[in-house]
Amino acid sequence: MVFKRSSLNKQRLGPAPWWRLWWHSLTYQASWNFTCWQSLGFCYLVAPGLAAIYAQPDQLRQALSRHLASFNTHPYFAPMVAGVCLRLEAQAAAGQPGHMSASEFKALAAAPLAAMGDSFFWGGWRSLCAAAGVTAAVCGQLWAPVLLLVLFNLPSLILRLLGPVYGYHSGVGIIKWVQSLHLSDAAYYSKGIAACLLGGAAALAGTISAFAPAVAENTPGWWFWTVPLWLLPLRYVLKRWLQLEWLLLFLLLVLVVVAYGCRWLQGVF
Amino acid sequence: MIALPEIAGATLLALVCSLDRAAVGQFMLHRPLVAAMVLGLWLHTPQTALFIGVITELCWLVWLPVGGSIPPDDTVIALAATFVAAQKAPAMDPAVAVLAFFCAIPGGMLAGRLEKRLRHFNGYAAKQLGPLMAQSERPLACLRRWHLRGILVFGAIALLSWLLTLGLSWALYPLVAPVLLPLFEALSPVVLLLLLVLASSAFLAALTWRYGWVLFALGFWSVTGLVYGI
Repeated sequence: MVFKRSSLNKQRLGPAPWWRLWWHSLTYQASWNFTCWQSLGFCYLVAPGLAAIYAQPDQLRQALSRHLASFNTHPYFAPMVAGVCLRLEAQAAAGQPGHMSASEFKALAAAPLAAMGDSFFWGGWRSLCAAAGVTAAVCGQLWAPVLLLVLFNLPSLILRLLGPVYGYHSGVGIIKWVQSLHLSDAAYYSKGIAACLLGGAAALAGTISAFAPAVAENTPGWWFWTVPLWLLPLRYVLKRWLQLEWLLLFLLLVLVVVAYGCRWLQGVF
Repeated sequence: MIALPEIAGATLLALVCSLDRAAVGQFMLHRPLVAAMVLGLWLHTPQTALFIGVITELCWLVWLPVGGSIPPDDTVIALAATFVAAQKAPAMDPAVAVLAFFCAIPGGMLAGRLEKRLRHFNGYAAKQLGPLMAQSERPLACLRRWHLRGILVFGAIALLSWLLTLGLSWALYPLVAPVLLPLFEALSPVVLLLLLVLASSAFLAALTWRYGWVLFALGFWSVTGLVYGI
């Protein structure tokens, strides 16, 4: 059934539910658990909008119960999903249900949005921002953490602030918009830029870093140019055999044993 | 002797930053580079904090906080290492900072496992809520109460993780310092480079090796060439 714009206007939400939704989105994962993931958080997210749509307590209670089903997606995309769900609920309340219910939309959209959000925000963009911050920090710039914070929060805050309203107005068509962003490609290129920045940061750490002034005074030997080659066996070990924290613990243990062993040998001879 | 305002401020910071990891905000205040720097400014050791922040930031950058995966708690590792390093050497000393970082790792790994166990408490709330809301006169208030109760669980996780990591690193540091500090002092001009290479290897392990390695090498050789005017 085609949704009429006039009935959406009747169901238009005022600014208060949107502000409350945004406020609730800040604690979206407060009740994260292994049983039903973010279900309570999502229910809490849509609660202000549902309260504006359903005036009758019984209808509101039923709507809230519908949104208590298991749900898990990327936390920055959740407000946008909430916006779409509120539109679908508003349509249903106006007696003009679309071809999909809010619960069906949640079930369909959760996994792809989680994959895209995790890949872009956690895998790509966060790595790029961290690499930029680290590069500035290696040069001794105290504002490096501010760079990380500002760079990372710009797109995520825009998505969290405008996502719900855009989702409400676009409805299920929002998925096409998200697809058009090509976030997986963006994540791939972000990781590449991050790798390049980390190479630069490693070179700075061995040359003009604020933390190694003794090195900065001398031109490093030929060995310095071979540093990228060290990564090949290290990368292999970390990918196939050990996680980094275990490798670091192993290193610590070996160093302690060798150091105590040397002391003991000095005592013996 | 640790001053009470210092430990109280560090604990408050650990609570705020750990809550930012998942439960509240997720504004990246919990990133090691940011958290360590704030603590460093509070303890008047910003250079030490920056050094520890850089190492810790890169070591676990590759871990994604997705689904049920809970990485080692790099926030408390950075905070505990900064706190211990600031207490042991008020001026910037790379050897002390690296040793404090190593000593904080076991606590951070245990903290990650602790968090996984404690998150199950929220599952209990989720199971209870459905029937409770159906009977309640005020379902919205009931929902708010049960959902926000999770912040208390995450707060408890944060405090326990912080105390565990700080306690372990504080206890471990004097045990290994006599033998490892001279070694790290000898290595101090290149220790940041070595740790950056190690941490970058962990990051590149998550990428296609040709793509990641070629770009890393490109960045490394370009900057080295620029620095030495080649």
